[in-house]
Amino acid sequence: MLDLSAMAGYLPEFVEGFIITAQVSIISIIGSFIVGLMVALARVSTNKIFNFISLIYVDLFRNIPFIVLIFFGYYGLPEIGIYINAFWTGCLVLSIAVGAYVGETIRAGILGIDKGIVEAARSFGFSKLKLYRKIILPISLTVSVRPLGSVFINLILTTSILSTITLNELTGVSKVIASNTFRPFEVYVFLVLLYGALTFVISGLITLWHKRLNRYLEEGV
Amino acid sequence: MIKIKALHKNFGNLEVLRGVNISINHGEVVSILGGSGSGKSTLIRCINGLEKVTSGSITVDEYDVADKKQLLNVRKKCSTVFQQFDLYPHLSVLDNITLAPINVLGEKKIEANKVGLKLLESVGILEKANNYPAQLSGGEKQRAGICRALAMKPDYLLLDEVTSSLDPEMTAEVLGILKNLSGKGITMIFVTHEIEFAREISNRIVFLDEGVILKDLSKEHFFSAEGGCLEPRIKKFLSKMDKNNG
Repeated sequence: MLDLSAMAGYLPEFVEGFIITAQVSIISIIGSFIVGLMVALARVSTNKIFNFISLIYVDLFRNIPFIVLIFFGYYGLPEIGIYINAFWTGCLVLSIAVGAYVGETIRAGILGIDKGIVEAARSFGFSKLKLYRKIILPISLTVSVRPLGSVFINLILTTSILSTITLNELTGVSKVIASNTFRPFEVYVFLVLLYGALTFVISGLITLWHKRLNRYLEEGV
Repeated sequence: MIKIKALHKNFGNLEVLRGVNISINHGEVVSILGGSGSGKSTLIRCINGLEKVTSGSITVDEYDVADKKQLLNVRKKCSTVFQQFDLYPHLSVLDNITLAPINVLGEKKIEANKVGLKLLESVGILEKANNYPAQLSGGEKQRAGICRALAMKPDYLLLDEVTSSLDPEMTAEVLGILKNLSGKGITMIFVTHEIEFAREISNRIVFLDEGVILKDLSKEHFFSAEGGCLEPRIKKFLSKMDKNNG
């Protein structure tokens, strides 16, 4: 029988794990967005070297299992003298790996922009930086914000793998509690609810962002 | 003055412009006529540097369009109005108009807004200032497009088939506004199919055919019996257009 009351004593641990998961998620969402933005710009750039490097980057990180990357970062790199703690290894590897997906998502948005609009802007003499900041990125984000939301939710779910490198985030904490209480059913029900809450908040934020970016399509403002 | 010398433009093997020579003086209102594929839009797109010329030269006042550093100066002097309007969809009408003055010319936002609102008033869509392009009719969009171009205080206004996407009623709206402009000393270069309109407002007609200038005459001369009509190609074009318009 489901008896959540048995979990009451472990609430502080759950909260702690939840906070770590939320922190890693937020830092990695920001990190992967920055990485992805650079990847996307390099992918659409006319510079052949940037093009090539970003193409390799995307292909590389989309084709390696995340757990292999995280093991490499946490257990492999210390062998050559690079040690970063589990929390920051998680954030770094998530930003780098998810950045590849973010990059492709943003790139798709950029490629979807009406060429005429970009030409019109160029004809008015905007610098490249202004062209991207004021026109290309805002328009492309209106299209890519939804798929970006999926990528970010996926990122949150992937943080659970960080339990394999000793980080006591939500899944890590739950494993410990489950083995202490012998009540895996209740523990994992709790876990499902907490992940649900986190992704629900993020998808709500994405919906709001989408609405704000797309307000220009609404009739009669 | 815009000076175009021996301009060639190829797209792959296709020669679109085959040696165009033309000078356009300050204050002139020039209409560029010609059939589809004659190269007239390409010509205008070469002037503001949207197309790279294959050979030949274009200078706008003292600036060379082919020189990357001088191109910005050219673009500050020439504003373009586009066939498909090409407004920035994510910005309000007013922001569409002020974006370039603020970010390219370095104008202050307050000043730019003032100018923008005045322009919108002059074309009769002041009440649309805070609307987005998607909420405007085609005619209103093109009026906003004209304001966006004028906000740069250009010496030259390039108009690329600006009424081709509009129904006759909206075409009349837009042409009315352009006619008002033509008396104000701004140099205008029209690429157009509107022969009647060209006859009404321009003082010079250039007829382009298969990438070369067939005739470059004053309006009176072009439409007279001894002018453009002596050229069989132009005669055919004019008679077809007359039929369409009638």
